[in-house]
Amino acid sequence: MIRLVIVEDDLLVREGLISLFAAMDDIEVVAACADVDALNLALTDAEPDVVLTDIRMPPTHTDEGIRAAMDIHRTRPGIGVVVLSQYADPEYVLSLLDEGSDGLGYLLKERVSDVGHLRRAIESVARGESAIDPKIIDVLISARRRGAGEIDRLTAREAEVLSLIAEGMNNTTIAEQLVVSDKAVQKHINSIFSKLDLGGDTDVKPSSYGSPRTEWAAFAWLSVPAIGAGH
Amino acid sequence: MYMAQTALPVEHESGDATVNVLVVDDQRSFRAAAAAVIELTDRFALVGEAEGATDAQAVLGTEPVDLVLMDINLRDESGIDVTASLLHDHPQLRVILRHRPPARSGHMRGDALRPQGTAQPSRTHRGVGRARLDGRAVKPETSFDDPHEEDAAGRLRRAILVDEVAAALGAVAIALLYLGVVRNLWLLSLMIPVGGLAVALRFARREIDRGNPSRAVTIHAVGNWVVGVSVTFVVPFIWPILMLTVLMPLVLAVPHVRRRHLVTLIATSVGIVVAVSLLGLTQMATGITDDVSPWIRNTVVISALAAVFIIIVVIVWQAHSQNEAILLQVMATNADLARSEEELAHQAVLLRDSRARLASVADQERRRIERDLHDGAQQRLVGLAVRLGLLSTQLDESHAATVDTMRDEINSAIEELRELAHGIYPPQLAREGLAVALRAAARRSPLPTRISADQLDRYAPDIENALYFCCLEALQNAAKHAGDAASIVIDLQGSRTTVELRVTDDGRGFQSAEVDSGSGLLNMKDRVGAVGGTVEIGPLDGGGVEVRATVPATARSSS
Repeated sequence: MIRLVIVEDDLLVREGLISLFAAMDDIEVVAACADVDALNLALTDAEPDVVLTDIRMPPTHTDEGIRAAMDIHRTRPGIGVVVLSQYADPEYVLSLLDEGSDGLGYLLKERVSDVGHLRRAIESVARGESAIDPKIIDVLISARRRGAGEIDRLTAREAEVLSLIAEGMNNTTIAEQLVVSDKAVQKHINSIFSKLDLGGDTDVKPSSYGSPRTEWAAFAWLSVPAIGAGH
Repeated sequence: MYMAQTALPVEHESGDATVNVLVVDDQRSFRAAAAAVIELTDRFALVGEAEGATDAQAVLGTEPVDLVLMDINLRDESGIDVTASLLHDHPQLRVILRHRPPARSGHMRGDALRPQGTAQPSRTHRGVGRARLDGRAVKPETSFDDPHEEDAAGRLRRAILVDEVAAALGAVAIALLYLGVVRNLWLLSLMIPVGGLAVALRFARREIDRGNPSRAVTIHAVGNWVVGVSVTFVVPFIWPILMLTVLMPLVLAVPHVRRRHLVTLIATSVGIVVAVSLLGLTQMATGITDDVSPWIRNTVVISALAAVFIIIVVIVWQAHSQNEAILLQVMATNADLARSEEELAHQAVLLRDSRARLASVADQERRRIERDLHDGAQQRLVGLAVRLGLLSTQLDESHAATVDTMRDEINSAIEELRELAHGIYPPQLAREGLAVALRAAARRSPLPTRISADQLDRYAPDIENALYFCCLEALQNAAKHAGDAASIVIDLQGSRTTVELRVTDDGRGFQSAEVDSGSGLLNMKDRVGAVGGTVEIGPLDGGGVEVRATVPATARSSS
């Protein structure tokens, strides 16, 4: 059972989320907050495992959610946070990256209506893994592709695997998703890491894949502007 | 200038009827200047000029005159009397009386010529500044109110008068000398040139009054030369003094003649000087030589010297006061110019401020719209999508599929809304700064776009906004003109005092016609100009285009 706190200033969305999770047996909403102050109370009182927070909240309606996530990550590393965002720009994800990646997730707001996806992200961060919205990976990959960089050297399947890694999936989940064997996934990963020179860093070995660090390495590589892409 | 209106002001006619103006003034220069101003003033036409009442009546007899611009001080009559007589015969006339104080006349403004209905609100700055501010082609008004032309003529007139008196006295002295002491017919014959000079100088003064100082100067010079030569011939021993008489006209002439005329005067003066000195040294025929009794000689020399000395003192005095007048005039003009420049600078500052304010207000509005879209419409759609998602779990399969389709459509709408909001104002710009926002813009650019903006500081929001939107415009231009094969590089550099944005592409460039006609460049210049920066756009050597925007700025903090 995952104890979940919802932080969302919009009543409609908040109530919608509450009803959504009410139908799930393994997720229990222990508090629903409208702002950061209420969240801080809930953090001490409700002992949550995961916080699901909107990115825009009072008072400035910009990135309160990100700051709250970083705060929680610093002070209560055991609690996972999923930030729901209106913004598809990877920069927001990168500012989360400053804090490390374990137990942090970034989903686009519209994903909340995709029950399966939302549940998967919450479960990931509850396990201490990360979760990034595939749409954001798409943005990065297509920008990379326009930049005619190394990404072109990947096969279509390898690019797909890369984006799933960056999303935070592990080998098994990727294998399930692509309907291939774990071994095949591992082979793709080896190939990707050698093509992208990610393997040059001995800390990031294909075998260490599955640690949050690897996911973020992939994501960070994607998000670096194409300036280094051989132009 | 002091103005008095003796008749009703010209009423503002409903149509665009032209007001026909007659200028009455005894000064030719003023008439010319007034004519020039009237020519330049809409709805006014000059139909005639007059020196006095007679001329004015003649013009009124033949031309349709609506307005008379009348000098109060005409030479031989009063402008007020002339006005009264004109109004008696032509009661429909409107007359503006102008009075010019003798020492330093004021400036007449174009406003005085406007009918009252169109008169501009009172403005205090004078003609020079006004012409500049209005961008109107009114020349600075030196020729218009020329106190020094008038005064210079007055001074010439006085100098010639002194000379004239001296000549008359000289003629009398010659007569006395002949009658009393030296019975020499040659001496008596000097009455003719010396008396003649007095008469000629009288004519010269009249020429000055008619506005022909250069003719007066010529008469004066020729008269003095004739006297110089003839007196030397008869009384050779005073030739050195006569040299001064011969050269004096040249000094007086300088302010009144054109350069070519002056050259002629100088050349002739030199000739006369040579003639006088030769005559003085060689002439022995007339009998009045060094041999005459010393007291006569001394008396002649001393009185001639005294006369010349007095004339020279007068000229020097006049020249000094003229210089002083010119100096005062120059200082007044300089003060006017300084005032106009100050005003211009002030206007420029106001203009720039208001431009910056407009841009800033527009940006705030963009941010507000962006927030409204995110927090209003988008939230509502998200709420709806959540409920549909919930609904679909409670429905049987076929209905659930329909609801899921609806939900997908809502999600597409959310995505479109997100792009729309981002286009209106990118939230990262205010939050993370220029470098981050432009990185996102580069990612959205349809052409491959690299960005180099390492370690760029944060700047004032207005500056970041201006450069951001300038860069977007440049990216759009490149996408339009550079061709599909091109790629773009954005380079942002911040220094202690400026931020520079360079957007270059390696495409096929665009024609200057496209640059001129497109609003893109104008938009960039407007945006960047509002924060005091400049935009240059130009072709690169190897093809492609560079847009370079530079804005003066001080960094706020490191990002």
